[in-house]
Amino acid sequence: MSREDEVLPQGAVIDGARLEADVDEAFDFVVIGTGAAGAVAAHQLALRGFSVAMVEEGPYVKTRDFGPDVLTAFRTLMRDGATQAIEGRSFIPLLQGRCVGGSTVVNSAIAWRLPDEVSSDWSARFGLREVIDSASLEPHYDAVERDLEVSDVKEESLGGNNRELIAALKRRGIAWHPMKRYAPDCAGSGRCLQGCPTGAKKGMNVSYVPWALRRGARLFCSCRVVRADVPGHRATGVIATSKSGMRVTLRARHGVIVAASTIQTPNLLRRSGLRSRALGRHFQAHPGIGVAGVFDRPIGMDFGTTQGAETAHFRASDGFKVETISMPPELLAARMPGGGADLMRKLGEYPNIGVWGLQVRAEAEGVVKTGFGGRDKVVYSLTERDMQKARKALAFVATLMIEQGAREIWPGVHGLASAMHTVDQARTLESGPLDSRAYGFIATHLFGAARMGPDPKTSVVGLDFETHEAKGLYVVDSSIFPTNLGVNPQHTIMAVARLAAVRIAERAGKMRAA
Amino acid sequence: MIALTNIERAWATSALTTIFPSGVHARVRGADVIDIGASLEEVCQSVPARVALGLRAAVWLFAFAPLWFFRMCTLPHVDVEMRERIVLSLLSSRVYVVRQLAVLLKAFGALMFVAAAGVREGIVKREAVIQIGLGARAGDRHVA
Repeated sequence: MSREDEVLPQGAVIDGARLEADVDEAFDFVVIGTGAAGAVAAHQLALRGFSVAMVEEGPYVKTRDFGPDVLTAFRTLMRDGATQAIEGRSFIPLLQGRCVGGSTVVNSAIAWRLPDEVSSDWSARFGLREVIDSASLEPHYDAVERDLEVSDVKEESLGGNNRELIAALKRRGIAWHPMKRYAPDCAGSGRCLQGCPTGAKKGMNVSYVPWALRRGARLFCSCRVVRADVPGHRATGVIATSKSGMRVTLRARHGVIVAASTIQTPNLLRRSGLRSRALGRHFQAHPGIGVAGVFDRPIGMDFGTTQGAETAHFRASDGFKVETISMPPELLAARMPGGGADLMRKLGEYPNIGVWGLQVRAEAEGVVKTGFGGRDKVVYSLTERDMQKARKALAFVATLMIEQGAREIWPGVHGLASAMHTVDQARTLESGPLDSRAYGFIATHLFGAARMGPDPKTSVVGLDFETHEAKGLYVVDSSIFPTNLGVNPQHTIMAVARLAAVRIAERAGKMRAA
Repeated sequence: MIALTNIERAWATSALTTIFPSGVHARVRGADVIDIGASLEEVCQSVPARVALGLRAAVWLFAFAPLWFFRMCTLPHVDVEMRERIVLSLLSSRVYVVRQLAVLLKAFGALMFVAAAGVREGIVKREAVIQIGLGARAGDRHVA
């Protein structure tokens, strides 16, 4: 059990659910969001001697309270109880954490550095050379890796699902690797999605957030930011509402740092008065699909790292990545085809079932809008080329699973056989429908919608992380990324936020000295 | 969100016990282990209004689906075999919105009943896992 989130400085955490009076306080910086970006930025600023307030819409759920029940986890840890969906040609469920630690509480803590070709693209097409590129990020990756003890998944915590994928890839002679993760002491509880019950996964809730608090930062959780206060094009603080209905005013002497995520940041900026035409545009994602299959031997998805093995062999050539994703029974039951007696028989085979997934580096771009009642609305449809990539990836994963000994797989494509048994059948997936409505996509990695760039006409945030429209209003999350990455983004989000915080702190330090 | 009526609760129970029936597998209990109406009510109160509305629409969809099979009654009043046929047809409907609504109710049904005491344990119970040897670690590095 982690102690990191248990012993915190007295008075450092203000729980908005219990707040009984309005708050009005001043800090050097106010950081909105405590996910991968906000927590890292807040910690870095606190380390440098600035007074910092972190504001988080969700609650601070402690490690001791994480259970195996997915419904409870969805309700307490995820935005809208995990019912958010991208709207477009098809509905694509959109999973985002909404708690202290953000999505790092409910993801698999996978560490990938920015691929070189993406760094080159950002430099060449978006003018980010020496702003955000592989070289400038390197010391920040190094620091985060040291802090969070990034390491390969250990063999003893791999579990059957990961082992089967590795064996299948080895059989094919395809390069594979155990995931690099922020969970050096992973016990293989298979519960990354519900919140790590041992605290071994170093989500922000048990790392940078408590570390920042110990450096003097304060946390206002269960407080929803209504807007940043931007009089005369200069950010001076944040107005929030606590869950108990109190008004929380946090004034910022040096700046407001927005790290509310790709979906929430654009609308928060709009509510703060920004009117850039680029705001909300260029949203991108990595749509993913899982393939489940039943073997004649035990797999045991309830033990082992939830996502512990992968191959990036096809990332550059075909635009997809293959990885494991162990599913708890309730998610598998929802994902398996059909219903009735046949479904229950299949569910009875849970101990022998494995799930492998694919992520597509989609070229599609969407828009983040303000929907009815002020809700966040994302409109996004995959292109035909994206669908071709997805089909190819799906056929590959399905074929691999059957080659590895699955006696039946469930690819989940409407209009095709719900159960497949042979390699020839699996290969038919490559010529499956090009309509995204036929597939069960899910979106977890989100990018863009408040793009960084030198030109205020085409970007929202300047090369110094400050918005073009308001001084002292900074954005440091993945909404500033000009494109998606093709790999899991948490590591790059953290490194970029750290780099941004260092630069913002240097600038504020000079102002303070002057 | 206005509370589910008793009749809506009965329709939801009929739909979800058909999707997740008990007595099929010795270890795996079905959706009847929970009070489906009460659980669904709780879910509807905790999700955004548009989702609660979608769940309610799904319940009505299942309830009146027998009409498309020329049965002039609601789902609880058709025989078990026919009920399963109707439910399966909605879950694999060619009409995207119908399919999505049916899957939405199924997904929440799964989340609700697996959370009941003993259900998860029954599903995951297994013999000792035989581990496959991996040999030497290989592959390219993704953290430089």
